[in-house]
Amino acid sequence: MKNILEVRNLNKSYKHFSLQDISFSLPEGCITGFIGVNGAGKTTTLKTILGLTSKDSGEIRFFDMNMDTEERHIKERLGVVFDSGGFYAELTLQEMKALAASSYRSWDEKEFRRYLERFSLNPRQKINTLSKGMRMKYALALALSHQADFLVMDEPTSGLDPLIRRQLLDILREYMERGGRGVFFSTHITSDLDQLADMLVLIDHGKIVFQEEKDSLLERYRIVKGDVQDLSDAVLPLLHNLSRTAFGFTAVTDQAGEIQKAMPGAFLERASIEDIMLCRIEGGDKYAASAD
Amino acid sequence: MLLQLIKKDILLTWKYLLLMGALCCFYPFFVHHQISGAAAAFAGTLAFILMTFFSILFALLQAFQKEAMYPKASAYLCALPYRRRDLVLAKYIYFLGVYLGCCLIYWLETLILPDLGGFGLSEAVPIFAAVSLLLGLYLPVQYRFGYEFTKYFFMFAILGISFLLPMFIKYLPPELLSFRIGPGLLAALFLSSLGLLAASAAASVYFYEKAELA
Repeated sequence: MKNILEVRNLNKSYKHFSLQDISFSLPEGCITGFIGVNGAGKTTTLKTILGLTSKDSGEIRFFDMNMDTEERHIKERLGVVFDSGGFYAELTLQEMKALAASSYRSWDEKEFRRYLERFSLNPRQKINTLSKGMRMKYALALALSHQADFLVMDEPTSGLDPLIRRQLLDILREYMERGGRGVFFSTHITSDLDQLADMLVLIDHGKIVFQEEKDSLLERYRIVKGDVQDLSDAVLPLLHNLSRTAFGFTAVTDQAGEIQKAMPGAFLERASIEDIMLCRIEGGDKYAASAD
Repeated sequence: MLLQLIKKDILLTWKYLLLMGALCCFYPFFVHHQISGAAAAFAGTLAFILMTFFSILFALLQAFQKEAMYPKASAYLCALPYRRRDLVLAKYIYFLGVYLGCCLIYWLETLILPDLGGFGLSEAVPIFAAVSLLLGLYLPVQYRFGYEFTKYFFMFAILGISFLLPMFIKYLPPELLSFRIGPGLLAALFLSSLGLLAASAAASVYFYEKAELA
């Protein structure tokens, strides 16, 4: 399978924050969730790979083309959705569309009209009169109306109600039905990814913690519940996010087999992406596993 | 491509453009009403200079205030296949369009009120030079330091220039001040203004390509 995006040793320093040796690659046909807490570096990474901020070092390749030398060709094939749109809110939908469309050679006006109808958007309406959900739908209509091969979305579900989030996820599934495409989707709302993502990339304090298939992560991690008396020195290193109460303990482990051997009486259940994220980030061990 | 970017600036600032257009129409008539006789022609030209200069200055402030209001919008445009160079050049063309609009309004007024004096290259080119100087300095500073700094810097700079101008004006060629300029000087003035704009645009593109977008 070909890679749509490859990031190698990307570095970017600010006064109080830096991206350090960011490397990951996204294969085609994959919806990838880019997860991390607020301030972990998700937006900075997205901005840097889109060329909105300069990088200190590293290489970014889309569709096997170098971003430094073929930025314009690459951007023809990207669809971009920013948190809250990133539009001139005083313009109408039609005016903003004309501005975006004129930058693409492959703009498909019929497709755009189809999306506007589907989302019940009036092209004469001003952007500042749209709700957050409608803005997101409009941003999607713009991003999907030029035969984009790869969608880059920064926190698209942030602040949206569950119905609109579900609609958005359906559209992304539909988009992926035609092969050879990909979606890179940053979010801190990990529940969206439970249903949708094929791959997860976790970033924390400007460093990539892991890149892994979602199913294999969910298969490996388990929430462990048991009696506090069963917690021996041998099992403690196998547990993350350990929380003790008068009734027992809850923790997360990626060593389910070892735990079962050491504590046959313990209950093991599937962990959520949020549990996994919290047990892998710095400072996340203060927070107990969420399952009850 | 550039056309849509220029149209965007017009759409974002159209209320202001209408207001300034109305003032540009009204002010020479007002001057003509107040000053008659031999001084009317000079007063008319002065009205044209003032209105053009302030129209461009306020257009600069207004357009970049809108960009500062929507910082993610310019980042969004740069995430599309637009080059940053396109965004910068569209701004230069837009402001030169405001200058041409001022010229057109004043030319029509001189046809209606011949007392205002004629309007030709000897009026248009020196003002073009002044506009080029304003744009040539303002835009690179704006792209390097951002809206807030540039706004205050130029407010104080223009105030300072108002005091320095009387000292400086005595060194200018008398024909430039009387707008009776020979074709050679006009051509030199026009070409040097174009050169200044080209150098300024290159500097603005350089700064904007290095800018960290929101």
